[in-house]
Amino acid sequence: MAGGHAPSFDARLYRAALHLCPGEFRREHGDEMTLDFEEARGEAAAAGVRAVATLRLLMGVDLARTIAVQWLRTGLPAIGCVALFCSLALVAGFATVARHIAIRIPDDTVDAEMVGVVLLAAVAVVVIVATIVFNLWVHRPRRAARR
Amino acid sequence: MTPAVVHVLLALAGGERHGYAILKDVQLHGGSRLRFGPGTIYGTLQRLMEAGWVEEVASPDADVDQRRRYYRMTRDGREALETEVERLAALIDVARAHRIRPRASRG
Repeated sequence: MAGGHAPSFDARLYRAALHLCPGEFRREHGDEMTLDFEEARGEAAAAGVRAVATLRLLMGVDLARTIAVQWLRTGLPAIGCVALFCSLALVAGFATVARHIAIRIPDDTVDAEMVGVVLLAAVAVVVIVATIVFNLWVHRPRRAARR
Repeated sequence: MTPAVVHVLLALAGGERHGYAILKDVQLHGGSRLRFGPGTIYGTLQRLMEAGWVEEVASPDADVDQRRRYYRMTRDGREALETEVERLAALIDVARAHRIRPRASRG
């Protein structure tokens, strides 16, 4: 810790908030960022209460922006959107085909609800699988280049 | 090049520095309109390292906190910065030709 003191509440809060960043970025720079925050906090505390409030605002905005930028850089939001679109298109296509196939829907209300739950679960599984597949596919060239 | 990239490279033009020293340098030269925090600085450093414009070097001082990491501008980084400075200088020439001056110099 800076100066060998226990970290302030602000520093602990900042460190906790860093967990909202992607893991790779946090592991790479999390310690340095916390250290920088502690130093900046120490300097601001010496300058007065107003400086601490300004620092909190500045660091909060910076961290929020960093979380958004770093998640966008991972490509996960875009991959999620593409996966969701593809999954819904796949399910819609399947539903169109299934409409022409004779599927017996149970007359019992409880069984009909169960069919609905199973279909929803199937859609969720398809979305998750598609997200994983797209994620692996998008990051494949970068991994090959690293080798 | 974004303002953050230009300022980080300019901070490293003076030699190897750790993240907080870069942050202080950017605050000093960027003025009150450019308020970067550690997230912006390290995000920029990460992108610059991926581009090969900045590299991490061993700490020059053994007494420094081990969590501090030092960064240095590479030759490619310097060339990119020089190109950007040339572009900005040309831009300023065009602005002067149109009699556009900084607000501070107007009095």
